[in-house]
Amino acid sequence: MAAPLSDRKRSRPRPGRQAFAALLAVAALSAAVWLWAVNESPDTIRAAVAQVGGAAALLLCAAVTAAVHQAAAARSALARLADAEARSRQDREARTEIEDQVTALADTAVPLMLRRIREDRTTAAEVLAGELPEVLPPVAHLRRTVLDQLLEADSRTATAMISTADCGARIQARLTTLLAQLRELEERYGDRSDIFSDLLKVDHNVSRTGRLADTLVTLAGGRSGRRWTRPIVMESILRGAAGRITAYRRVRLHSTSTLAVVGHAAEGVMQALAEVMDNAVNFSAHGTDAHVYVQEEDTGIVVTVEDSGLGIRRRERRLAESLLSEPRDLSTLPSSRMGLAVVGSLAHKYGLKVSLRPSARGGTGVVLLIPTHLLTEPRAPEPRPSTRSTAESSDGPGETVASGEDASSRPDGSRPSLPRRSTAGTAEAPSAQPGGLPRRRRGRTLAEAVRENPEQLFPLRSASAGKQVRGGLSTRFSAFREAVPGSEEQHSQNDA
Amino acid sequence: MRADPLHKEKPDRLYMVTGGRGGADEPSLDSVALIVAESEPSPEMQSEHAAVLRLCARPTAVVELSAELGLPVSAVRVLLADLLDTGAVTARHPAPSTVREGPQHDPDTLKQVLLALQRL
Repeated sequence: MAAPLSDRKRSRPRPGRQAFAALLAVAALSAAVWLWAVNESPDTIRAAVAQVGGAAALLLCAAVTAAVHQAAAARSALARLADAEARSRQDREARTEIEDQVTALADTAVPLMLRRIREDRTTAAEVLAGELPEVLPPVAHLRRTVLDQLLEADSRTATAMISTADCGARIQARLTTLLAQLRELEERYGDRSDIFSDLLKVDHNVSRTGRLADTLVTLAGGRSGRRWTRPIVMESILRGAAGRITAYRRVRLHSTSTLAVVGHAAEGVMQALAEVMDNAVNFSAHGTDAHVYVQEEDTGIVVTVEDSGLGIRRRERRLAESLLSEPRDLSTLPSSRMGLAVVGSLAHKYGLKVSLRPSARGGTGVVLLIPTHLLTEPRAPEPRPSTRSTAESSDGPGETVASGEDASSRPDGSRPSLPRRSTAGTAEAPSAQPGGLPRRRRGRTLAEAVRENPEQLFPLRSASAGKQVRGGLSTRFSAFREAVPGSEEQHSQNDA
Repeated sequence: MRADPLHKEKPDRLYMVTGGRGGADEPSLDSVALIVAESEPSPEMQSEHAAVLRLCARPTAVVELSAELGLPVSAVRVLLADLLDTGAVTARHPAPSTVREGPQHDPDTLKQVLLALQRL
């Protein structure tokens, strides 16, 4: 680079000026020679010498000037050429450097940024400042812009996920209320089989909708919708799962397990099983069933869901396994098929192990292991009918009585003013022991107390009739009927 | 109790207990028909079926089963229809005259009883 520079300096004088200098020098020289020649020549030829010599001197001047000008111009052109070459080499080097840095940005820096942002968005920028290499200003600018955009995108994603989870949770809450109301209606119209059938259909549709909300919330990283406060037995788990899918009639449950899943994990297990069952039914030929088997093993409970479909291709299987093994959320889903992603996410959350294998039925078997730390013995109030539980010890005392009452008293609503027990009264006041006297609370008339709990009047009578006192309603009614003639007599006596 | 149904509700819905049947197309079983178990419950049975068989070790009315199981009468009817089909239980229908509209159901009488009770 040094040589062309000095070249350039040396050739600084313009070709015109060089030519002019040369012209002056040649003109001076040739003028001197011409004068000398004219003086020295004999007089006879002096005029001729002067003319010829003058012409020759002029030609010489012109030729030398032209030559010098051309030479100077050529030198100048060469210098410019060398200069241009140097500059282009310099530019090439600079371009290569930028290219390398941009490639590095794409290959290593951006993935690193994404990783750090995923780890923690708030500190990502600081951490990255120490980790990323020094680069040329334009690349640095590009990198800063990319980082800003990535941070912004991540923040937007996070907001969208939170809103989705929040919205899903609200849907879940409403559906839970709706399901509770439906259950009440089912109790109320339990004796009207036509209404009851319709209610069951509505119930199923609401439950299916609930699964959608669950999917949304799970993939948006929210909490599972319902928390069960007690362990849920396997039978209920399986039925709770199967009940959430559209074709629940095509799921065949084979379970003799009496173990229960702990309350906090029950919802997750049901949700995962529901997705697996739904997959199994959807991939089975129409009209065939999916079978669910439960085995108790040392490591936990193994639930196998087998379909009789065509099996899955290798590529689909790889995708399915990747979905099951690495938890995804809404922002990292590879496709719009969400079922297996939900299973993967829940498996990760609760420590369930899910694997695929070919099924003996020809289709695919999904094996889901519920580890022992999620299992327990079912809690005591699981109705043990051998001891003939009375209303207090059975699972839902208020509801038990209420359903019986509704069931048998509603249809003939022709009894206008029967003393109606409030359900809370019977449930919370088990004070009328058989054989005891009618009780009233302080400050109330006995008639009021009786109106609340007429059963108090008749325990002796039913006991004397040799019947066992039961929570059942027909016994109470028969006791009531037995009491009717007696009170009628009393009534007429009073009248008399 | 009723205000907070979440604590006693089960995850398996009634349509799963009845297999989606609401009892509309089952032969109607009188709500005070007495049901008697004819076989022992087995472990692979649906738990409600097993519970019915245990409860019906001695004759039990349909409404009583409904109350004991905490299930609506229609659901119990569906369960009983299954058991009747397999012969696991038998039903003894009550004599119609004693159950259907009898003099005991006369609303006036009942009203008088109510008045008498209130006057106690």
